[in-house]
Amino acid sequence: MSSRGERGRTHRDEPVYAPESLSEALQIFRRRPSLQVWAGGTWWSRFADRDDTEGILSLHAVRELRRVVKSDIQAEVGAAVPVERLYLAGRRFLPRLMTEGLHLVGSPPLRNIATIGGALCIPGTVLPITACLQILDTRVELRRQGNGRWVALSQFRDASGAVRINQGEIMTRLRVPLYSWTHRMLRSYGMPFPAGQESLTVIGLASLDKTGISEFRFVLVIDGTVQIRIREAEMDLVGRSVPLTEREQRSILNALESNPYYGSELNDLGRWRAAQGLREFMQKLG
Amino acid sequence: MKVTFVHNDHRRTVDADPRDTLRRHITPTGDQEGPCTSGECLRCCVLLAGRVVPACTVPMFRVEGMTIQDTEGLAADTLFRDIKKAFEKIGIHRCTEALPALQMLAYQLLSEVPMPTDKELQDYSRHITSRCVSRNEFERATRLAGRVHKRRRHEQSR
Repeated sequence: MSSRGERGRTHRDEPVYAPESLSEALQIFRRRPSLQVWAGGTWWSRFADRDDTEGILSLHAVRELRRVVKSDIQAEVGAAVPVERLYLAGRRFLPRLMTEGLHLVGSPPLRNIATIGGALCIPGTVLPITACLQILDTRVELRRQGNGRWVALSQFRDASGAVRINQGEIMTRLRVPLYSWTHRMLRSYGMPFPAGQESLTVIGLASLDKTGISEFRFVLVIDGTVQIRIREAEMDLVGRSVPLTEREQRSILNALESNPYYGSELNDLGRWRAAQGLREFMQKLG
Repeated sequence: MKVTFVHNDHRRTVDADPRDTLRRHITPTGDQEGPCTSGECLRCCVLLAGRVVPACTVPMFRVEGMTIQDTEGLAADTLFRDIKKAFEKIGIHRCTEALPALQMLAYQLLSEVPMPTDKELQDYSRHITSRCVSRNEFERATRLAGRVHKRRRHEQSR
């Protein structure tokens, strides 16, 4: 694949807006909704070849979008914080699963320029960090001039994988709850980005209390495009005491195996890795 | 649009399409033209405002007023000199294709962590796509460069 400049496109002087404040950015975007929003640009610069835009709205200089604010119960992360900076700044207080997911966004030089908001908005691609943030109950703020809304990250995409952002809206912040989870697992096989290559990411998250399992979550990300979560089986596990019996473990594995994507999207090795990952995670609880 | 930036201590102004990548406009002195042009092979890595980035993913409008250095521009940097020496000692200098990428990766890692752990080294080495340099060689060379640089700094401080 060749870069834009090397395709011999005609030279053009399209406007580039680089506002320094969020209100200025939202104002510009309201007036010109067809602008192409650019944060880190690692995806756009590679794969997007849109000539229908009237210019670029670059968010790299917006101060509000580059802040990380921590409180006792949550961390608010600006959507234009570079992934590597977020990793370095947040590894002491962000959930470990999130920092491990940040490490899988790409190579260190790419992470220097890629932003967390951009990583969540790649069309048709589910990066491991997206799945990690989803099971951590992350919410994202979508702002337009005059109003804003918070959306659960799990509701941020429709069934086809397209992001649900209305015209004139910009992703501005992420709110990551800082619960203390007792068990986590993140295993990645192959390179999850760019999407479409053979890869598998196995993510598990659980919390135990005196009575047994209080929370249990398990996600598979296949080839960077498909995500499997077995919510009913997860709910069944809540309240069970540990160690889980062989029968309980078997019922969870059956729930995973009955997912249609599990059979169609994974090869034998992938299925073995996924089942083994789930089994090991359940055994780790006990 | 006119974009002005400093490349290896030389101020340059170029007339560029804002969507052009930096890779297209900097003279390839130290860095190599990568085959991927999508930031995966890391051969065109440059130091942009102190951070290592693949030049083929940086749009021109982002480099206005910024400082860019490639391996040639870093030649006088003591850490970079130590990395070069360590790479020569391990034998990686023979691979001219991937060398700038590997040196830049080592430079970023050692700038952040002077004495990286095995896990930190592996986090970087797993992104090496070159077939003529093994991950183990890169890790050995980077570890050696870190030790040499630490010793040099210690001697300078005495």
